[in-house]
Amino acid sequence: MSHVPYSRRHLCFGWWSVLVFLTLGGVLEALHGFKVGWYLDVSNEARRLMWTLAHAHGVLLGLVHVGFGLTVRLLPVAEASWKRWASSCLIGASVLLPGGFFLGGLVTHGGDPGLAILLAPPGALLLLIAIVLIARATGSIDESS
Amino acid sequence: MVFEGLLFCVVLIVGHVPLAVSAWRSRSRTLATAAVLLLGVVSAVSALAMFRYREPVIVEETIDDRPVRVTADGYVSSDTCRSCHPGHYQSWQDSYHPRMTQVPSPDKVLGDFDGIDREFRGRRFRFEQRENKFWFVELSTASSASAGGEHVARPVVLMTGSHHLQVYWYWIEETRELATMPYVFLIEEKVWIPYDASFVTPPRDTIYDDRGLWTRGCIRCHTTHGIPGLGPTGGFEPTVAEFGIACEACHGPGEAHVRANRDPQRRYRYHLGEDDDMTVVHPSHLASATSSQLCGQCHGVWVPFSDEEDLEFLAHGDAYRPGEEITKKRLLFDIKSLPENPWLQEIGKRQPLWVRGAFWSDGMARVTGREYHGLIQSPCYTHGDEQQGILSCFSCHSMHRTEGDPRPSSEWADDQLKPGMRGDRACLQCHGEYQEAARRVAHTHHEPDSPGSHCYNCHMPYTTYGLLKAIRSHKIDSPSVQETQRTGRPNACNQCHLDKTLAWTAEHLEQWYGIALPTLTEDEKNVSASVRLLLQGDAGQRALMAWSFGWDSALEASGSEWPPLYLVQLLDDPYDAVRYIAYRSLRRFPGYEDCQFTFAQSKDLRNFQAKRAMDIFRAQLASTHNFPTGDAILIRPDRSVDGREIDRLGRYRDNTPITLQE
Repeated sequence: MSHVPYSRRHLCFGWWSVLVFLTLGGVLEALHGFKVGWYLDVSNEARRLMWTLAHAHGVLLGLVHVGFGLTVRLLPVAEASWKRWASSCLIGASVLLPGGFFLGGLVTHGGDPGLAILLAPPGALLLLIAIVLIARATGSIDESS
Repeated sequence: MVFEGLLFCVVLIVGHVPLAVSAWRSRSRTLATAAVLLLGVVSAVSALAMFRYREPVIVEETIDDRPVRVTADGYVSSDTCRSCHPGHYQSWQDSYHPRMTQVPSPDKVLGDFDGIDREFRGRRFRFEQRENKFWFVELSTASSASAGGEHVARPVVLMTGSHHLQVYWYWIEETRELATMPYVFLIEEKVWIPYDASFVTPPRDTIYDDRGLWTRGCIRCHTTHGIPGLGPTGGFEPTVAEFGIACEACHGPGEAHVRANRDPQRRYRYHLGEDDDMTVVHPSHLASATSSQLCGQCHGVWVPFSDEEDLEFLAHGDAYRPGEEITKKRLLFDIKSLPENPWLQEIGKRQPLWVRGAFWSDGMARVTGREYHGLIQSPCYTHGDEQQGILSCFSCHSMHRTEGDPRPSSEWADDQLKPGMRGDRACLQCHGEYQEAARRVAHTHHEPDSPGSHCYNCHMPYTTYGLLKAIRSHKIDSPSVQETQRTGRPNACNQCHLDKTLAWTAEHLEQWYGIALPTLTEDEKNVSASVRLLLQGDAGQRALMAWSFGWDSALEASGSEWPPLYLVQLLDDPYDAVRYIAYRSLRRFPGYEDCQFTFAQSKDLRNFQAKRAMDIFRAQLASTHNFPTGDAILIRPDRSVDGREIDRLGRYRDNTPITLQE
């Protein structure tokens, strides 16, 4: 398989992801603007933290996708297996990590987030695997090509 | 600090390495040197800022001029509770409990330390701020050897109060105890008043500072887990888990709870389940009696079981922990138990003024901070059962603001009442039969929504004194002329109908509720009960009347033209607090707004101002159309004041010295 489908898929996924989570950031700013107690009250500190993390992780992971989409173009066409794994892990992480933070903030228990926060650790693991695979693969980039 | 500084330097150096390497390899030496120099200067400035502008860290253990804060005996402090319970932490912060005792700092000191001299009882004081410290400086007076010079300067080391008044404390090195500064600051009025004038206490010629009181008494309730630390040589080493009344004062020591809940599985088991986490006390889940004891530990009068136990408290602090049965650890001072309890009698003998100043003769609390006594004497508590419900502090109050409470947090914090509990709903939550307005009218015999139709005004009248005002009694009770005769406590009817006699009240109570008519004296039949109490009562009763004569509901029921006549009588009262309350009530009436008052007034000045206020009253009496008159209020139909009768009643004033023990 050539690098083109991976590149397109991740560029597309990445930019849409940035759009979605930037929009979430806008919503959060609006909640600040209108001083919505459900988000801003001290008793909702956990929700505020969770949603801020969802926004930040979503946008940053979107940019990681864009980076990955561009990186695969620099890598040899062969050795598709690591790309498949890295791609899947990255997409999984982009769903689980910000998703876990967002859902964890929907229902909170004092200073603790809701149970959906349990989505975040597997998401973080997938992200870690993806980054290790990409980092290893970048060793084979031929700068002369 | 050292570790943080070391890390800062390492990161700073590592950050410079790539640039230094690039500069080393660069062909243009000048440019490279300039870049490195510039970065070096910027880094040096930030390093300097990092080390110079750090807040000085105060290590509590090194402080030797005030009680220190130590976490011991399982107490961990509210700082630890905050991260897991941010909402509860915030609503606690919104209340006045955390600021019952504070270490002074510019953002916490409410008093005016403006450097202006004030003179009182022949001594001059100046309150001033020097950098971040606050000082009471006693200045030499004209009669002393070094007139005009600084005599004694004492720094404020602790403060108590943040709601009504703020009291300042200094350190006595010899005994390692605290003493009060001679003035306190009234927060709402923004004025300094002498410390003893903030209580109903017999007049003094000298300045009074309460030495040792904080360590022996206040520490128990104005801090969390306060230990006076009495040593074998008689000196004190006071420590507290936290200044102010913090989470662990009600929830108990939190160390075991914190340790257990480091396990997230455990936390979620309790979040998602219905069981209580037993590592900490949940006051609202306790039985009514036990939960009320939590509040009662401070809002009640308790004594040790013996002198030995008192010494044990002074050495090691309070043995009571929240959630326990308090009566196993302390003895409630209940006047009704006096006859059969020799130990209580002994305490009564040691401090007879204290007993009279804390309770009415039938055992009802007459000063604030004793609400627990009122609660447990109320039929709603004594006759309640688990099915009907038993009155507890949490029936009306909440220590944490209820979610969705529309009131601003400052309004909630005032009395920490649950939403709607300032009105009839407090009673109707159990006495549902009076939900219907018609039934309420039939029961109260007052127009709907008039002051007399509200449950509180008849069953929880303002018969408790505290903080320079009258406060509602916390014993749910019904008006009774007989009780007024027996105890001298104003009844709800006459406290609102200021112009009516006891006979009038007795007739109505007989007519409406079938209460037998008592035998009444001539004065009780003919002179307004409140006027009599104001002129003839002891200082505590006069203070209550001084407040009642400015109470909106009373003026609505009794007319607002004539009460100044009697408030003027109190402007020359020997008790500072009585005069001050009368003055405050008087200033609310039109025409009296400019009346001046200071606690330092000489008797001549007081007489002059009382005469000036009387002139205003006489002018209004002459010029006001339909000015109310009547025998009961001693204003004749021809609009002349029956001064002879006022003097006669005043001659029988109860001048027994009294200190109301708040």
